[in-house]
Amino acid sequence: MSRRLRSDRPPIGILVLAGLAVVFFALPFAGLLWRAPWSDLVDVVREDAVRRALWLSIQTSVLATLVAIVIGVPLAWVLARVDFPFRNFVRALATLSMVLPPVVGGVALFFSFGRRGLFGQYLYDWFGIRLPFTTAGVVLAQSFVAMPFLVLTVESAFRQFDVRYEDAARSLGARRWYAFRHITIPSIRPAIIAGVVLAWARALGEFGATITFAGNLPGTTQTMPLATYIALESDPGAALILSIVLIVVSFGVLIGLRDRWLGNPHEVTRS
Amino acid sequence: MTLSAVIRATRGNFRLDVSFDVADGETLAVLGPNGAGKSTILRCLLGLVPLDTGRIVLGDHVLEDTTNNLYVEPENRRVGAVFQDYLLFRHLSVIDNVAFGLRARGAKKESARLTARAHLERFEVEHLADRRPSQLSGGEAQRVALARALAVDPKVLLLDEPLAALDVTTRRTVRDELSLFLSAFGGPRLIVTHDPADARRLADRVLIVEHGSVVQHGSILDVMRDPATPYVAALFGDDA
Amino acid sequence: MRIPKPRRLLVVAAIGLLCACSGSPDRTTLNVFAAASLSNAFTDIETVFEVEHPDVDVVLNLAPSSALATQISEGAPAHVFASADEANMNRVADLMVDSATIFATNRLQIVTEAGNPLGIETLADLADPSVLFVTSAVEVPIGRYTAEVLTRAELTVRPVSLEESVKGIVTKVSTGEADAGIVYATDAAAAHPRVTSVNIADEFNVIARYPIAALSTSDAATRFVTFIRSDEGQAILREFGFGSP
Repeated sequence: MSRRLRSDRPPIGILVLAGLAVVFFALPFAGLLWRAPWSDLVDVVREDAVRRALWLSIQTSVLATLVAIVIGVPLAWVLARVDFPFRNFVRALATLSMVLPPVVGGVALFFSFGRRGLFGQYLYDWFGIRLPFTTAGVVLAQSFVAMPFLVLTVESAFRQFDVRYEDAARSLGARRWYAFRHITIPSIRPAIIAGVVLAWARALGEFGATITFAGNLPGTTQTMPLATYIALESDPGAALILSIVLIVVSFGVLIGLRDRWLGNPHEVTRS
Repeated sequence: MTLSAVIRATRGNFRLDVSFDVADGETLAVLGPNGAGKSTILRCLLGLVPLDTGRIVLGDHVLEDTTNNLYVEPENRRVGAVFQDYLLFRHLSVIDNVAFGLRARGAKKESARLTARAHLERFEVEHLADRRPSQLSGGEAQRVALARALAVDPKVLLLDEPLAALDVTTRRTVRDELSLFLSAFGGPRLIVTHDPADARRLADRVLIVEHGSVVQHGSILDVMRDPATPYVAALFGDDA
Repeated sequence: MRIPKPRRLLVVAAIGLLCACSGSPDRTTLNVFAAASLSNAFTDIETVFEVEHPDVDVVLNLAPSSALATQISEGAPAHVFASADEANMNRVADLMVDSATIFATNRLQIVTEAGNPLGIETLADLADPSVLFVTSAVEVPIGRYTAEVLTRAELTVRPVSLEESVKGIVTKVSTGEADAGIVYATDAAAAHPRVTSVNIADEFNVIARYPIAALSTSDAATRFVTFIRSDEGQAILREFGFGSP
């Protein structure tokens, strides 16, 4: 009996290191919760500016995630399935914004889509479309930094997916799109969910590109991260409360991420 | 309907050049060493690999003809297949696997399931209808794969190493069952295998392929009596 | 004990690195927190002061006064604080060694893209809804002063963005992203010719008053504050366009 227990328990060294990692993540939040002016919580949360920032953050991050899905999944598919020249270059390009400091992304967006930007000037002169200082600009900035997370995760999933299942589906009479929708996508669902959540989380927390490109105006472009940063300059107590609100919202979504959505490691695959 | 194929295809630096016919009710076994191109033949018949030159005709339906630039997509070929490893869709239950082809062609969920259940009964596995593929034994999975392929009423049946995934003890029983099921299928049948026992038990004729070309074809007896290459001799040679 | 050659080199290098990192043992570090609008002037002042007081190493921290005040109240090691307005100086009142003194003044000006393509001439022109106007939040000095000016002119102007500091306003306007902004005259002068300045009528303009205070009893801090208020320091400030206190 005891022999079986010993072989089932994870090695102690791994547990210790994993424990360190958990502590590493928990300590900053502990500090935050300890310093927060809890008595002011209700007042700060009730403030219009806070409500608007939170609502704006949710709207823009969801929209940005949708953009990432609509054009990111096809890109992931092409990168995984189509052998074309300069594929590595394209992949590097698609993930570049993930590696760069967000401010650099913001500067790039600024000088290409700003009113006097390379493309922005035509958008403005011909169509009257202005992106900086608008909510659309916020969504653009967030999509730009968040999409790579989704592309990488989903591309990896497509690569690992056995194409022969699609072949089987086609031999049974399914057209390519039908097979894709009913066989491929459900099979890589855990990866898609992970990619979507990562992209959304990144979009929600986006700051550098947003403040540089879209600007900062309550209700239009002042998302929660911006509001928190600005508050920090004059009223650290409010900044703490805002941080906590953002943490609660994000944590709530992440904790809803069920194990089974991410794939069950104990499912034995039979051939 | 007779299946008539002239296949010339390239995959990387591998060239395949074969031609053969299979009549209704006839089972042709395609034998050959690994890398001979056997699976490629199946993929060409299914339409998954386009021909360089050649023709694939089923009765009077032309599935592919390079001289006339004709190509029918895999989903419209009515060529059924049981794949190596069976490739049952893991996220669907057994009955939904069998119903898949019907639903892909437009059938409503309930009517597709009814037809699927009938096919499961034919193979005596309707009690597994709500199980997941991961919960099936090798023999059960093969029956479900057969049911799935036949549920859409194909005109030709292809089998790729249908017994390779099974252990030796179950292989014999399943081979006998497979023989029965195959004889109940009216159209031409093609089995790819590396095991001469499969050929002996299941096939009427054999087609031996080495390095992408046909080295011998004919009845098993003919081939056994007069092997064209050392490989063929070894296949059927030491045999009681 | 003979230390082998390569190891000796390593030891020497390590000691040298340590010396470089900790600075010369006889130099005192003086942390000066100064408002963003003082950037150019204080950089010059730093150079001149260090020449005259070689025993002091001035380290400048330039940022919006509101951010600096927060950092100081959270415990940042500042020895001198030069703010762009009195409100932010008052936030660190309990840390001041002596009461703060005004050392410079500044006036406000409208800035537009180089060449003033929209032909903005008065404050009232800013109220036009098609004009993209940027300012800062009222916690930042320039934001507060701008609000005051607009109130005096009885104008409502909706900004499209609240920039973090006066430098941000200059950037948005000079790149053509925004049509106009209100900044200090010193910043307008410094950004010329990338921006065009438009004067604000005296009756509406405000005088920005810059206080400075020592937050440490150290001799270096006192000397720095004295320098700022001396003729020499004031001359430098005048060069950049600051008014007398």
